[in-house]
Amino acid sequence: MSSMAAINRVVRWPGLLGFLLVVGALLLGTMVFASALVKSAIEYTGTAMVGARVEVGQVDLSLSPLGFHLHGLQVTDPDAPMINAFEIDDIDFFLDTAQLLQMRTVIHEMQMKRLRVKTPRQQSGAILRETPPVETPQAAAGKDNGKLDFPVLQQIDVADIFGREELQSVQHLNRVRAELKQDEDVWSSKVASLPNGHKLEHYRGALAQLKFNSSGNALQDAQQLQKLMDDADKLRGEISADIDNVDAAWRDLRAMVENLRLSLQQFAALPQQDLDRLQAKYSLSAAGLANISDLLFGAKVRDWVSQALAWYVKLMPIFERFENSDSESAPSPRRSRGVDVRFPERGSVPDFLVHRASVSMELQIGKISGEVRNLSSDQSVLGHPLTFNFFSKEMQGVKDIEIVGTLNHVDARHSTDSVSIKARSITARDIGVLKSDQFPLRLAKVEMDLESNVELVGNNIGSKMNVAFRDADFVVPFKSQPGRIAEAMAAALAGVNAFATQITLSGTVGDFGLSVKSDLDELLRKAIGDQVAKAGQELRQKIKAQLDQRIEQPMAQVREQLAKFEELARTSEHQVQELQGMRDQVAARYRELEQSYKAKADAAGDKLRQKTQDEKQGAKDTMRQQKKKLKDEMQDKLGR
Amino acid sequence: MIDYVLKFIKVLNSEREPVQLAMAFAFAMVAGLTPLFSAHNLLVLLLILVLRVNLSAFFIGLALFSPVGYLFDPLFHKLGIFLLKHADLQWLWVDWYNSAFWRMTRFNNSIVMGSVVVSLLLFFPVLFLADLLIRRYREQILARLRRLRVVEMIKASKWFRRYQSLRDLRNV
Repeated sequence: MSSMAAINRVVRWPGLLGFLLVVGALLLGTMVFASALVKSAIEYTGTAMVGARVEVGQVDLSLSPLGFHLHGLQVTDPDAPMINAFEIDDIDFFLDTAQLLQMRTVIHEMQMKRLRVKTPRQQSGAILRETPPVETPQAAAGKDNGKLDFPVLQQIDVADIFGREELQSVQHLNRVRAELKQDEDVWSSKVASLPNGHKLEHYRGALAQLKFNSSGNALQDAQQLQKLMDDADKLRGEISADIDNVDAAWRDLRAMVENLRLSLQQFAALPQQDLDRLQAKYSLSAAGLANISDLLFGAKVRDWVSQALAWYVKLMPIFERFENSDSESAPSPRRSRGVDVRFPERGSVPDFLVHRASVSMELQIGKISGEVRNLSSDQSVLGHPLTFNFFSKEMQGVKDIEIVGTLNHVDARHSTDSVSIKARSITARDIGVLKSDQFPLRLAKVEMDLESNVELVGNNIGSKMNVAFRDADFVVPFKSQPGRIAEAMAAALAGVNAFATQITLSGTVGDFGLSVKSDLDELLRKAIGDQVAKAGQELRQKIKAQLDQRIEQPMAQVREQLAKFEELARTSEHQVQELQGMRDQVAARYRELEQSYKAKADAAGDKLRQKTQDEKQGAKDTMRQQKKKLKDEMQDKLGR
Repeated sequence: MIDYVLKFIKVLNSEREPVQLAMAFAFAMVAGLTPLFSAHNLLVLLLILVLRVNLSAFFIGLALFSPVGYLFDPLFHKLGIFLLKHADLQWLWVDWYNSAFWRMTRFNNSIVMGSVVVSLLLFFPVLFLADLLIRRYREQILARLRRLRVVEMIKASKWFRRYQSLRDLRNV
C-alpha cells in the first residue's frame, strides 16, 4: 500500500489519459488534414525539383486501402511560365501501408490519365529561384532555324570577304612596313653620328699637314718630328674609331637588309596561300553541298534534342539523389530544418517506389499510352532500372509509334540510359523546310518511317536515327527570278521522290554534336556541279584581282625602302674603304716621320758622343798635369 | 500565458517539491532546444503529463528555451553532422536507419541529432541546478521579497484582488 502511495506521489495517472487524448487528437488531425498535407508536400517538392510552380487541383484520400486521387496536376515549364510542361487530369495510387510505417512511399499501381503537354496556364508559374537554372544543353554546331540559306546560293561580295577576312599576306606586309619604319627612325639618328663629307675633308687636310720641314738644327728637327708623329698617331686613332663605327653600322645595315630580303622571300608565297584559303572557304564548289541535309533537317533536330536533353537534365537528379545527397556538407542549411544524412539501406525497398505506373497521354496529334516500371528514388537500393514503353495507333498522321526505354542508374557511376523510337508511316504536309529568300524550299507532302536509338552512357551521348522518306514532293515557290544554281537545284529536288537520312548524335549532354547525312547531298552535287565549278572560278579571279590590288602599294613602299637601305649600305661600305685608305696613308706618313726622326736622332747622338769623348780626354790630361805638379812639389819638399 | 506565469510564481513560492519545478525546466529544455514536432518530444509529452511535473513551469521553460534552440541551430547542425558522419558510429546509424522505429525519430537529421544530444547532456545539470536555485530562492530571497513594500502594495491593489476573485470563481 505504501509502495502504491509512493508511486502515486510521482505518477499522475490522469496524465496518461491526457497523453492518449493528445496523441489521438494528433492522429485525427493528420487524417483530417492528410489531403492538404499531401497536396502541399507534392507542390513544395515538385516546385523545388522543377524550378517552376507545380500545382495540384485537389487531393482525395481513401483509407482502406490507403490511397490518393490527385486531380489536376500542373507542372509549369520553367522556360515558359505561362505554359505547363505537362498537365495530368487524374492520378490514382494506393500506398503500401506497411512500408509507410517504415517511412517509405511504395506504390504498387499508379494510373495517370489524360496527360497533356504544353497546355496554357492562367497564371504565371514562375518562382523566385533559390538555385541557378539548369543550363539548356546546346548543340556544338547549333544553328538558327529561323532563316537559313545554302552557301552555294548566297551572292558573295568580294569586298565583303576582304572586309571580314584577315589576309596573311597583307598582315605580313604591314608588319614589315612597321619594322621598316622603326629601322628608318633608328638609322636616321645613326647616320647623323657617322663621319660625313666635312669630316673626311678635315682628315685629308690634317693628313696634308703632316709634312716635315728641316730647320737645320738637329734638335729642333727632332722636336718637330716628335710632334708630327704624335699628330699622326692621334689622327690614325680618330680614323680607326670612325672606321669601327662605320663598319659596325654597315654590318648592322647589311643584317637588316638581309632580314628584309628574307621577309620578302617569305611573303612571296603568302598571296597564293591567301587566295587558296579564301577560295576554299567561299568556294562555290559542289563539295559545299555536302551539308544540304544538315541545312534541311539539322536545326529542327537540334532543337528537339536540346529540349529533350533539357528535361533529362532536370529530371536526372531524381535518379541520382543518393549519390548527390551531399547536402549535409553544405555550410549553412536552412534554419531549423537541418539536413537528412542518408545511410545504406539493407532491404531492397527504397524511400520512394512506384512499381508500375500506367500512363495515358493526350497529345495534340492523338493519344498514346504506356507504362513506367520501377520509378524509384534509389535504383541502387532497388537493384532494378526504370523502364518505360509507350505505344499508339491513334495518332494523326502516324500509322503506329513505339517508344521503349531504360534509365539504368543502379550503379550511378556507370549509368546507362537508352531510348528506342520506332514510328511507321508518319505523314506530313506543307512543311517549310527552308525559310530562305533565295530558296524557299517546302515539302508539300511526305511520308516517312523513323527508327532511332539513343544511348547515354554517363554523360556521353551516342545516337543513330534513320529516317526513310517516300512520296516526297519538294516545291520551291520562288518570289523572284532565281539564279541559275537555284533553278538547277529546284529542278533536281522536284525529281526526288524518296530519300533516306541518317542522323548521328555524339558528344556530351551539355555539348552535343549532330551530323545529318542523306542521299540528297549526292543528288544535288551532281545536278549543279558544273554551274558551281564555273562560279567558283569566277570568284577566284575576283579574289585574286582584289588581293593584288591590296598588296601592290604596300609592296612598292617596302621595295623603295629596301632600295634606300641598300644604297645606304653601299655608301657606308665605300666610306669604310675610304677611311681605311686614309688610315693607311697616315700610317705610312707616321713611318716616314719615324725614320726621319731616327736619322736625326742618330746624327745628334754621334755628335754628342764625340763631344763627350773630347771632354773626357781633356779632363784626363788636366788631371795628369795636376798629378805631376803635385808630385814635383812633394819631391821638392822632401829634398829640402 | 499570464495565467501560467502566476501559477508558476504561486508554485515557486509554495511548499511544493522543488524537484517538480526543476524537472519541468529540464524537460522544457529538451523540448525547447530540439525541433518541437519530433517523435522524441512525444516521449517528453508523456513524461511531463504522467510524472508530477509542474506544467506551468514546463510551458514557461518551453517559451524560454525555444528561441535559444533556434539561436543554436547552426551549432546543433555541425554537431549532428559530426556524429552522423563519424566513422566509428556508422554501424549504429546504419542499424537505426534500417529500423522503422528509429527512422520515425528522424535521428538522421543533423539538427535533431545535434540538439537531442546536447539537451540530453544538459538534462541532469539543468535539473540539479534548477533544483538548487529554487531551494536557495525559497530559503534566501522569498522571505525578503515578501517583505518588500512593492509586493505588499500589489497584493493590496484592487486589480490583484479582482484577478484573484475571478480566478477563484473560475476554479469553482
